[in-house]
Amino acid sequence: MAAADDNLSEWSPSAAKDAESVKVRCHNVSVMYGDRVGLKDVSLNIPDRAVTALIGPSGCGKSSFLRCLNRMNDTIPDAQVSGEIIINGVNVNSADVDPVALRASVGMVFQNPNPFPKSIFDNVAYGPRIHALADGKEALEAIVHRSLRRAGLWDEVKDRLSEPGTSLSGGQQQRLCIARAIAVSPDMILMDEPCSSLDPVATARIEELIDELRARYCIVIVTHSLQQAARVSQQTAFFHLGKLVEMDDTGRIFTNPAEGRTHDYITGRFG
Amino acid sequence: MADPKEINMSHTGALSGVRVVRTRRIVDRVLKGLAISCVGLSIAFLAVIILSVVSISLRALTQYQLFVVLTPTLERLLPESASNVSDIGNNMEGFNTLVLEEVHSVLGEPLLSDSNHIELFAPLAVASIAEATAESPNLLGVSRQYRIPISSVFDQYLKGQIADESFGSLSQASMFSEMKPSAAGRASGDLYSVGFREMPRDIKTAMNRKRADLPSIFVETDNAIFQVISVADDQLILEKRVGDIVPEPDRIDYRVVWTPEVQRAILDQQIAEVNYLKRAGVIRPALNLRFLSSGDSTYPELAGILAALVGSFLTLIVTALISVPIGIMAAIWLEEFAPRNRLTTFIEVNINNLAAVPSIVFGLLGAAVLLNFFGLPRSAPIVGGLVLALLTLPTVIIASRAALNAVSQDIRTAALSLGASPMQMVIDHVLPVAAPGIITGVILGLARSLGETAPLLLIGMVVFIGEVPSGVGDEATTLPVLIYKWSTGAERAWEPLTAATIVVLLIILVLMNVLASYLRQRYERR
Repeated sequence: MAAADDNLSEWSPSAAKDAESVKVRCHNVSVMYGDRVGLKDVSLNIPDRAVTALIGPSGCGKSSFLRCLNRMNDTIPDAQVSGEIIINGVNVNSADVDPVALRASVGMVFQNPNPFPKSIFDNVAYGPRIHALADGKEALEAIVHRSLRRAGLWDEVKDRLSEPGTSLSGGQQQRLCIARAIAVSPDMILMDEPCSSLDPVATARIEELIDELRARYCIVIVTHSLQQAARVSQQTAFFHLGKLVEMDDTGRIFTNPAEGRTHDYITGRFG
Repeated sequence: MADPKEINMSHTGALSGVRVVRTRRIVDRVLKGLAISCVGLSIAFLAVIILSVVSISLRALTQYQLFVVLTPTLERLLPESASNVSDIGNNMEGFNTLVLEEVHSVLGEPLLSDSNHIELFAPLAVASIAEATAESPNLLGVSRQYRIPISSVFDQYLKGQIADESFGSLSQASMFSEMKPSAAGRASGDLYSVGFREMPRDIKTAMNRKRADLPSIFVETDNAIFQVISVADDQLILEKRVGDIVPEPDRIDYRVVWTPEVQRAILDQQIAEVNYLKRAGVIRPALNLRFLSSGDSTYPELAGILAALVGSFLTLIVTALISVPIGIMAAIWLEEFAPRNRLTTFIEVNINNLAAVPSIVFGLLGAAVLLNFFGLPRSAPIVGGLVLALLTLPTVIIASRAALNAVSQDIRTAALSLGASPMQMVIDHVLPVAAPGIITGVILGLARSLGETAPLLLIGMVVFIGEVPSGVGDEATTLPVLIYKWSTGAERAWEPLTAATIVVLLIILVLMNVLASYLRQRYERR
């Protein structure tokens, strides 16, 4: 537990300020699912306080890469991750890093809204509770309220915090999940196709939110919607067949990509 | 007719589309009909079984009891040698005599006490009165009405279970006239005759029967009962069985007992006397409360299910305390934490096989290991509970695993992504969601164990238990074992008691299932 606390303090935003604006450095990251290659030798840097979009056709390894960043691949039997992923100076892929502590500083939002079948309050309060982030009831309430405000859900749910989280609409549930993720004060938020099950209005709402959250967090988003990547991200990485094809400023990727395959993909020739 | 065929030919080639649709409709209809009739058939079977059990068990609801006013006194009940008042509790003979005196004062002559035949009530029937008197001596010297269940044979006779009978009224009969004893050629009792205008058809039929299965015919008034010994042209020749003759009775009834005396457990004289006592109000039907408040007995009229009920409860507690925590924890490990390898696959396969092992095998295991090796007491709920826990364990594990498996993977990843440890994930999120399924599985498993008989027979729980067990180490029996034991009883009177016990067991099982579905709904609503 002491080691986990050390890691937590190392990953805190204040400690990262001295470095340049690179949050994550990845070197030769590969993922094997048994004999199948999920991701092959990916090396890239992810900037802090910015949105990085991962795009590419289905099965290209972008979700696998995302799951490396908080070691969610550990929960998949026979998944093997190799290579270096350095967040705040620590290789999170090394054996002595506690994935449970890592996940407390790298939040994640999933494709399908997955609130716990508990009240809205308990959904957000769960993370702070298990990490003992709040000292007393008032502090916990303050965290919950702040997280809901940041996730842009406060005005809609402030009168019904005791209602089940599952009673909300799809878009609201996804924002609840974002509130739940930021309640544990992470450095990074990973989003795995967060809008793919939402309608356009709810999607627009989430995109706005991502834009607001960019000021505080390093955000990595996997998306199938090229328009979404163009709208919300500053950096875009294009994956294909388990390999990183190219990564650059979003504007350049969508207007003047270096690689022909990227051009073909964003113009709809394949994918 | 030709048009669609042409169109279809062009689309589907060799097979006509119309024919395909028609065949499909017929097949659908036949399968649907078969399914509905199968459901109907099973409901019909269930209804027949339940109706027959319930209708038989209703006979155990009431029993005929002697309503007698007794005055127990110290002089009558305390033998000279004994000095302690509590010794009254052991003096069954004294109480028996008190009751018999009361009965004989109504009957006149004490014919029922003939030792060759069944007694009117079991000697042990007064035990509860004797104990009550010994416990509170202020009952001594007080005249109170006491109730004593009559012997099950008489009870069954009065409920119409031992002999076929027809009744009627000799509405136009004339008065009795006393005849000389020699007139009918038999000198055993007082002879009378009764005249009538028209002989009832029942009596006519009865008198025409062959000698071997000659029915017995009785003529009854409020004060006396006679048996018909012969029929003259316009009168019946009667022999008085019990009671006193009254010159002008209000009404004269007859009773034809079609079952011949040699084929039934009750004699003509006993029929006359029981009916006389019933007419006199000494024998009355009353609710059989003893059925719920006492233990087993060798006399059906004194037997109850309380001891078995408590035994079942104690066994169930032991079963639940062992199988529920072990089963749920094993399921959690197998489902959430165990690596998928040969060992866990082996364990899984064996748990599934264990659920299919005949229950009597578990009984043998209990007898060999728990009784012989560990030397645990025979017939005790602790042993029964252990054996049934083994039997219930696979059911609990399989149901709990299914419930855990049904929990959405999204919840797990959500919890893990927040930095919850796998154990926190299981306890905080997976278990609460799986709880309704687990609870249902547990209750259904326990309900199954509650109805189990075979393994308990092997560990000696089929014993006579008159006393209510007070702990898991006492000798005890359970409801299904009691059902088994009573169903093998020779006397007819065990039949309604068995049926009533089945009804009690079914009610408990239904209540458990209702509880399971109630808990399920309650948890799912959250």
